[in-house]
Amino acid sequence: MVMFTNPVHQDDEPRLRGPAAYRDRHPWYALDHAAIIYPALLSDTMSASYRIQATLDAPVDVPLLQSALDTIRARFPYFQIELRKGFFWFFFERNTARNSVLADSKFPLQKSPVGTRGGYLYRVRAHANHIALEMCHILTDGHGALIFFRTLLAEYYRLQGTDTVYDATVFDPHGSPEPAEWEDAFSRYADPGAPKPRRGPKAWHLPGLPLPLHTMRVTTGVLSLAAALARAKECGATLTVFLAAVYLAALQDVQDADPGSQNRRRRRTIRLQMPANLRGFFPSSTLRNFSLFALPEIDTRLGHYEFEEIITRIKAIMTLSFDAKELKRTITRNVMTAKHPAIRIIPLPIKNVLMRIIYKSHGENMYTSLSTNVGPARMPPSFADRIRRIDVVLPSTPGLRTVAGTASHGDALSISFGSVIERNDLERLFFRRLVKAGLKVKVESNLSAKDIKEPYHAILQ
Amino acid sequence: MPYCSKCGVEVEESAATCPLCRAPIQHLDEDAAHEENSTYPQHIIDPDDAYRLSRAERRRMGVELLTLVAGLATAALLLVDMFPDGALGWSLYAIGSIAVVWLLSILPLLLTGKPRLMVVLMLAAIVAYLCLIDALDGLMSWSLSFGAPITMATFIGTYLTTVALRSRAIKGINLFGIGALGLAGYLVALECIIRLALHVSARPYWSVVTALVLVPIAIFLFYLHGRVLRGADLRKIFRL
Repeated sequence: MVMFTNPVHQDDEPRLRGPAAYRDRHPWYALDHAAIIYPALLSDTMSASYRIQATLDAPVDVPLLQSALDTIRARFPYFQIELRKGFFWFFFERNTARNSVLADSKFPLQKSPVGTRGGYLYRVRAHANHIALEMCHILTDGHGALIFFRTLLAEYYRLQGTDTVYDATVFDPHGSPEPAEWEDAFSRYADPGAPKPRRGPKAWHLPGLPLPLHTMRVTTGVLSLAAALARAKECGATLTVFLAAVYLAALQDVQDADPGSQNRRRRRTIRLQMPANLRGFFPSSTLRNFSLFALPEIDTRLGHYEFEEIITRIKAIMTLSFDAKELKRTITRNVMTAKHPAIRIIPLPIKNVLMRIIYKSHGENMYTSLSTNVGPARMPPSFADRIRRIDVVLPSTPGLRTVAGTASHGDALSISFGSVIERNDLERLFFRRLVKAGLKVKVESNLSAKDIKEPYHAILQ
Repeated sequence: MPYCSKCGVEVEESAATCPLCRAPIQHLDEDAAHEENSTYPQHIIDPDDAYRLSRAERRRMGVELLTLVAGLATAALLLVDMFPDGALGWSLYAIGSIAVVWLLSILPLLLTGKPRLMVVLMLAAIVAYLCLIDALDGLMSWSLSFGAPITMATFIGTYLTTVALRSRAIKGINLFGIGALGLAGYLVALECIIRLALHVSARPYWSVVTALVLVPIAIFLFYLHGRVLRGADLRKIFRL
């Protein structure tokens, strides 16, 4: 095993110069190829963070949670960093400031400290019997965040007297980090010469008036995992495909009722972004970003899609998208673009403007919404029964106005919608479809009745 | 478990309306509502929030106090000036000065959080004051050629330097470097304004010599701050 010393720039690691103490004081490393676009996008309306939260069976002991966080931080040195600006690129630098457990807010994922001096790219929050980890995507994807979250919970329960057997999904806080954990896996699997991925037409976007700044609506539906799996099986689909089909069907319902989409020939494609963990396709134990996505779509100019037709399309598109060769197209495009000399010599302020334009044209404009299913949270058996459920909340942006995250724990399947628009047609139609499919759903929201001062701008009732 | 008859979904015990359609939820047990059970708190706690309402009140009181002092001083000056012969003379200069000082004092209090607007209004107030003072003798001789441009250059130079100083997270001798650059730019602008007002060639001379000294000093200070004193790795900043 290679002992961890400091995270230093990944692709020229051995070329260290100067006295060891000198570089130990200022360790730094480059952002991975999926993360480089996010810092340019950060704003009050774009936090690039997502949230994993656990509902426990008892109120959270905050001092104990703080002790657990302080203990595990040393095991994840590549997360104890701040975002800095270089002349050509952003980079990470070690952050030695204290990272305190914060009180939770009615509006999660707001006012992120990312980008401020001394600000971490993650924060742990607590409220009543809920523990939440808000993680910035610049740092890691859901896989890395879940390992950090499991390790935090394992240490929290260890301090309460419940020991956990450590493995690859829950790290020993006193273990040694390995260099492979902060590897930029995208660089390893890029295949120079691979053709670029094809870019589809612009997608339809949900209409709606924005909620006030620094607020968001979170609507969470909880249902039985066993019942949902059984229903998906009846439809001849996996749970991920079944939920994506319900999502696309609900989006189609909203588009059908949208006054701006009444002319069928002028309708735009409804396209869903569905991220997937690339570690299943390309072996890697990195805890940095390593995920890509499939883009199932329905072109409603061709007519109304029945639910079974949507399932067929999603299965076909996902099979084609999640093919190692096809995935390499996008990996190579991302890596080789960032490595191109003409791109590299552009000063950061100009690069930021370009990246915002590229994100808009090649990112946000291409998807109607985003839905991710992180699957079972895989909490260790030692404390799994003390957690009632796990939620994943994704940040909506001014472009992708409503997005959804799904996670399961035990028999609790949680689907959380994050939205920054007043109208909630999508959430309502999605959960009503699940109810119509015979599933029992319990819905809750962070907004109460008194928060809705204006008439609801819903086009469907 | 209460449920929405319209959507068919179950809702929280504490929910008064359905989170999806806002239809009222009928509770059989009225005491069942407990906020503690909800996933999110119903109050907003964000790390960046700081609710100190007394600050606004203090600012308002400051404006009142400054206005009262300026008003009393103006009244006293008017009365003293008018007392001997019933005509206004020298007091107009003093009252104009009091008015501009009053404006410069209250603007930061009134426009907290709007620094750009504050600077623009301050600049306008000073330029107007200079023009007024110049015009009191019936002749606009210096305010438009010297006073207003030099004031504008001073404001713009100070504002840009302040923005640059504030943008530095780690403050040290790099601030002197920024100050030196700001001073170099200001001196060049000042010489240009003076030359234009005197109707000679606008091409600066002595200020360029000064700038050629100040710019290398600034570069040296930046290097000293980042590389020598803080041990910054140049590769991380200039990594291609």
